[in-house]
Amino acid sequence: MIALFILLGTLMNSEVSTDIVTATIPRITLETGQNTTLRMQLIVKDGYHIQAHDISDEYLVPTTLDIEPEGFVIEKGFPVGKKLRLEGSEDILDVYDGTIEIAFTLQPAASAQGKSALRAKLRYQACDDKRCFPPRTLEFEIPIDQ
Amino acid sequence: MKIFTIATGFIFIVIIGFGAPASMLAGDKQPMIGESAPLFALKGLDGKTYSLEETRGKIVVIHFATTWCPFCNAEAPHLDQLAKDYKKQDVQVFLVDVKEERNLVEKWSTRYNFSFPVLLDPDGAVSARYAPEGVQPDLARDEVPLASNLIIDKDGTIRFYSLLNTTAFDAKLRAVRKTLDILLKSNNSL
Repeated sequence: MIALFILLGTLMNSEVSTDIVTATIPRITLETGQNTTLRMQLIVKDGYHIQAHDISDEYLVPTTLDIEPEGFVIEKGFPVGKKLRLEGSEDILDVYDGTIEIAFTLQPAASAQGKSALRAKLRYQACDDKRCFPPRTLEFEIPIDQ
Repeated sequence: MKIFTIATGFIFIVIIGFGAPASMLAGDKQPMIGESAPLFALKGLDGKTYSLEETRGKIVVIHFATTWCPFCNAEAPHLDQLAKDYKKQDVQVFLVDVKEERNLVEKWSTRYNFSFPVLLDPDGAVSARYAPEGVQPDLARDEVPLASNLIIDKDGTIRFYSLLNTTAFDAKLRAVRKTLDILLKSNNSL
């Protein structure tokens, strides 16, 4: 039974990775006449953090997830970041580390008629305790089960 | 035995406390120390061109930065204070912004009201030349020096290089100031 669940989980989700961030990509089934929730996990490699979605410094690069077609997402739900004091300074950053879950509310099926996938762009900027890396964009598709 | 132990301890204290070169105090794995600094000529936000060669005879501090870099932002006010504190001693500070749009850098720099030239390295070519060979091979060459500080002496030789991969982050620039003080006191030698 457990093996069946693992097999189903594997079939339902796939992953896309950079060297620092892995995103689990769910398959979604759009409902007729009602909204759907898209839940996606981001796994940040041990020892690293990425800037959170809501950050206090306008020049830092927040984590964002853009989905096409535009307007298909009704509400974007990002978790609150953890406070991190930058070692060697007094600056406090809002960051994600470990595993976080993003939950987006999507429109009913009619607005994605004829589409087999949504296009997604995840943008983030990562650091460890000694280095910061330029912002990266991870592009992938989220399959739609019709 | 007791005398030997006391003597050894005394020698250790003298070496660590007084005699160690500033480059050691800042971290013992600094790259490119003693090498000639790669020459460059870059446009500043003020429209003027600044060349490293023209600063010969001055001590130069260079900070490689981007607007999105949290380490750079934390350091920025301290770098400006350093530039003001050492200006009378003929120390030239440059911030080299790597591969960003002029408008963004202009807006960002007004936040700190820098009293020294902010230079634009639009294609990252200068930054790439300051990337020590073999260091951080996982990064593009122009990304390696980001958030680093260098001190170049009056003869154009690199005397300090706080590459973040090898030294602890020091927003208040204590190690940079210490090295500057030694260079200024000793008339350009460490």
